[in-house]
Amino acid sequence: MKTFIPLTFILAVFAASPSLAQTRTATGAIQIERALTMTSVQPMTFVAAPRNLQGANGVNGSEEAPASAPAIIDITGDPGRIYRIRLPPSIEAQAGKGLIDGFRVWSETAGDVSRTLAGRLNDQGTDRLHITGALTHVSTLAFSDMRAAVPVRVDYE
Amino acid sequence: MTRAFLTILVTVAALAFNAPAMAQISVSRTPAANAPVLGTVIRGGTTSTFSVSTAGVVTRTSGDAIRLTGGSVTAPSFSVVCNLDILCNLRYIRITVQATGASGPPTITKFRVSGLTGTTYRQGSAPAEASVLTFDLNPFILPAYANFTIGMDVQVPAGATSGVDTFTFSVTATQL
Repeated sequence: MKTFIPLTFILAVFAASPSLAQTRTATGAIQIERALTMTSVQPMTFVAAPRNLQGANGVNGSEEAPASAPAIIDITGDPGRIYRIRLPPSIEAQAGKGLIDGFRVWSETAGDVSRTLAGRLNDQGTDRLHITGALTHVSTLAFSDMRAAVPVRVDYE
Repeated sequence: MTRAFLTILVTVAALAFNAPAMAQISVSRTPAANAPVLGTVIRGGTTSTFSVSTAGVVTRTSGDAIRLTGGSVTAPSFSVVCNLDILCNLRYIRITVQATGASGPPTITKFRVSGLTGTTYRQGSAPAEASVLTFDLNPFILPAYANFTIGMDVQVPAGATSGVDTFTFSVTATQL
C-alpha cells in the first residue's frame, strides 16, 4: 500500500503533463494543361495541269507538281506555349499513284518553321499552320485534281 | 530507503513537468520531395477528381480531365517517432491530417490512411476517408514509433488555369 500511493502519484503527474504535438507539412503537385487541339480548315489541294490530264509524264516517267493550295490547320492550346509539329517525310496520294513530300510549314505566329518544326501559340492560345508539299506523280496513269489530308501531330514542347 | 525513494519520486516528477522541453515526439515524411506528384493533366470541362490510393494508384473518379502521365505515384508515408519519452508509453497519440492550402485551383478534398505499423488504431481499425482525417493511435510500447501512408483525392475544377500547382497538407501528432 505504501508503494501504491507513490506510483499512483507518479502516473498522475505524467498524465497531468501538458500535451505534446508536432506537425509536418507535405506538398503534392500537379501540372494542368489546356488540351492541344487541331482542326483541319482545308486539305492540301493539287490541281492537275492539262498535260497531266492527258497522261503526259516527265523524264523518267515521273512529274512533280507543287500544291495549288496549302493544307490549313488551326491549333489551340495554352497561350504562349511552344509546340512541336510532327510530319511524316512523305505520304502516298491517290492510292499509290503519287507521292507527296518536301513539306513546307508556315506558322501565322512563328513564320516559316519548316526546319525547326516548332510553333508557338499566340496570346489567345491559337495558331494557324499552312502546309504545302510537292506531288510526285509516279504512275503512268493521269491524275486529276486531288486533295490530300496531311497527317500532322502536335505536342507541347 | 524513504529518502532514496523520495529523491527518485521528485526527480521523475520534475522530468514529467519538464516534458515539453524534453519532448522527443517527431513527425517525418517519406519521400522528402513532393508527393504525390500527379504529373500532367489536361483540364476538363467539368470538375474532375483524381483519387490517389495509399498504394499510389491514381484513378479518375469523376469529371472529364485527362491524366496524360501514366502509372502510379509515390504516396507519402509518415513516421511518428517517440524517443526517450515515457509519456508515449502511457498516452494515446492523435493524428490529424488536413489540407493547408494550394497554389492554384487543384485542392485536396479527402484523405485516407493505411499501412499502419509500430502500433495499432485505438478504434481498432483505420478511420473512414474524410476531408480532415483524425484518428488515435494506442500508446507506443516497443518500438516507439508508428508508420502510416496517406492517400488523397485531388479535385481539379473545370477549366482550371494552366500551370504547375502545388497543394499542401499537414500531419499533426498530439499526445492526448
